[in-house]
Amino acid sequence: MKERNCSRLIWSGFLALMLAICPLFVGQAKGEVKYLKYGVVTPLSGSAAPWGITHKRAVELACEDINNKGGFTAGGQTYKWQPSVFDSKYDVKEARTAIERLATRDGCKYMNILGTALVLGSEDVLKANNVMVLGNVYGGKKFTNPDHPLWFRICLTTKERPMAFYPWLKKKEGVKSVALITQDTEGGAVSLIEGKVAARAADIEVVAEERFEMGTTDFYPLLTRALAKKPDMIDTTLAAGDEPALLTKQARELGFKGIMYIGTLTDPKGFVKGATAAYAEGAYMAGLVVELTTEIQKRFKKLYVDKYGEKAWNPDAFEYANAVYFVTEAISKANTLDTSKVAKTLGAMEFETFSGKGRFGGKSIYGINRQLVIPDYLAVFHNGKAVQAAVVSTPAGY
Amino acid sequence: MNTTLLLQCLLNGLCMGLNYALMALGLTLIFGMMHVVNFAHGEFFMLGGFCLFYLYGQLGINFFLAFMLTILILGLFGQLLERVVFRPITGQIRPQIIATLGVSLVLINMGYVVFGLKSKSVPSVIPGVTQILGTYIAKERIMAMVFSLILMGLLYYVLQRTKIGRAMRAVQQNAEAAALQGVNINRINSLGWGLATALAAAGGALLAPIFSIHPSMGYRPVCLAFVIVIIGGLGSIPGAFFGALIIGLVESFVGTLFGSEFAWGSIFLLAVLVILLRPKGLFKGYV
Repeated sequence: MKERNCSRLIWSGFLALMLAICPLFVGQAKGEVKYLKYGVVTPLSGSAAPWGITHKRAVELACEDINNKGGFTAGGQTYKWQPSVFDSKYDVKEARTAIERLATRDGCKYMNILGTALVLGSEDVLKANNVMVLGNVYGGKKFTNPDHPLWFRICLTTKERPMAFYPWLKKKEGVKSVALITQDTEGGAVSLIEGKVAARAADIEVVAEERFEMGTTDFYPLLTRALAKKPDMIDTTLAAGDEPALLTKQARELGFKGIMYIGTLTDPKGFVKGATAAYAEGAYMAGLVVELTTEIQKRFKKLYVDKYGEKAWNPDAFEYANAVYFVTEAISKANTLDTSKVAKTLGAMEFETFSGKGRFGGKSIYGINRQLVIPDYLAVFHNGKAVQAAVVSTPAGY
Repeated sequence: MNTTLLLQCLLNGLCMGLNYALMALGLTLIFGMMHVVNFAHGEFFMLGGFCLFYLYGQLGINFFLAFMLTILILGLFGQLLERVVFRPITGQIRPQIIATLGVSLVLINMGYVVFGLKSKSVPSVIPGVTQILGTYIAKERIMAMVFSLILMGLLYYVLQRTKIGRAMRAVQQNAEAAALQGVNINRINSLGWGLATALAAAGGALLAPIFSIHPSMGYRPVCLAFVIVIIGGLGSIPGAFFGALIIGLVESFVGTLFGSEFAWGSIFLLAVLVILLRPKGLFKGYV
């Protein structure tokens, strides 16, 4: 009897083991689709949440779009994206927790992170795990340099944008002096330096440089100080969420009649609501795509609106979604998931973006081709609505 | 620095100072009467902003009516909190601290769930700007200053000239002695909570059309309110008023003259100096 029980136990164990490992063989035999994590660490709460919410939606939608087309292949295996989104609260500590979890527990090798300090604060984790970072970040050479071959800056920054738009604004609006106003953050500090370089190159005098703590709502003291220097233009170089709107509104309240240049793309509807249509009049916003000219722009907007509704549409979505598509293309082209090889491929290839042909450049400035180079858009607000003012090519040297 | 710039700093500082005073008065009132350090006070400020947003911005109720309703609703909410959360732990310092922290966390997180993650803008009440001796100020800011002054005037009247006010001051000075004189401590504490919550809510409601609102908007004002009551003297009503004006002016002048990054530093430096030189605050003893 005892022998019979023992035999039953052995057979049951064997059967359970077979059942457990069976799907592995079946899956491999049929070439079953595998899911690859696409990590997103972005602020979903706090003053920078408007960025993060669009970020989350755009990435999830782009992943879904690629998955619906059958995914992508690497090394003979078909993959689909599985977006994994974490709220960073725009805080280094929170972001580090999320990045550690994604990198070490979930084995995520592709991460899209918003915020320079958030990436730099987890540099050791990202490097140790060979994570390819797709950064919606500023931070100049601190982020983009030869020591970070796996880090790609997937947006135009306060370096590229003023280099492209200051000469245009000087010609169009006769701007001779500028007040640079930015967040008191890692990215903000760099954006001030870059703004000065761009202004010098365009022969525009920087008459004021101001920093404010994130979450500030009363800009009267800061603006009173800046406006005393009588600038022709205010550049809100790095300002998030409702900050550009409040800066615009309060600058106008204090009698500023010059040019407001919103250097960092933000939700245009939220901007008009926060600043009011009257005070937003004539303000320029960098990076804002208003008139959709290409088929891929129109298609993606339709997908977005169908899923989240017209009210939720924010042209920022193009910037966030771009990376999902070109990284997918790079993985397919490299035919491997090895981030070093994919990075090498991505750094050398040309790809299609929502703004036109794109590539990674910037070697002459950063020492490595890891800065996204695409045509850039400028919009101006009239009667509470954004109108396309210009599409400017990448400045020379990229 | 010219006179216009000085005047502009003065106006900016007074506007914010008067708003801070509403926050600080509520905070000091609760501490003075019940010895509760209320960490959730910033959330009453936030709720005031959102209440006005829904009543005025969404339902289209007249601003002044919406403002009064906001004060009333949040006042009642404060009384409810006192009855449900704080009365059972009266006199127990540690549970009270934990309770206020808990209420703060619950309200912020509920705020994110109910009101959403994005900042919201409240439509302008009186759009436009006015010029005073070459300086500019938004009409809404003047309105906020006037409303703050009216509310503080009313508070002063209630505290100094009414029976309830006298009872409140008596509780603030010595609760046991007041009880022996027939003052209903529970009722007065409840009224104190209601009044303090309503004041913070009024502050949030007045700033809502000027700035934007989001669930964590109470953090900065409550930090400043704590500094103000330290400078003015914990529990001192005049201390909270003058302390708020001092902070508003320091923030404005330092921010304008030396840059915004120095404003907060100078405010906390001032608080440290007061703690070192006059630990009980500049106006302690003036109730």
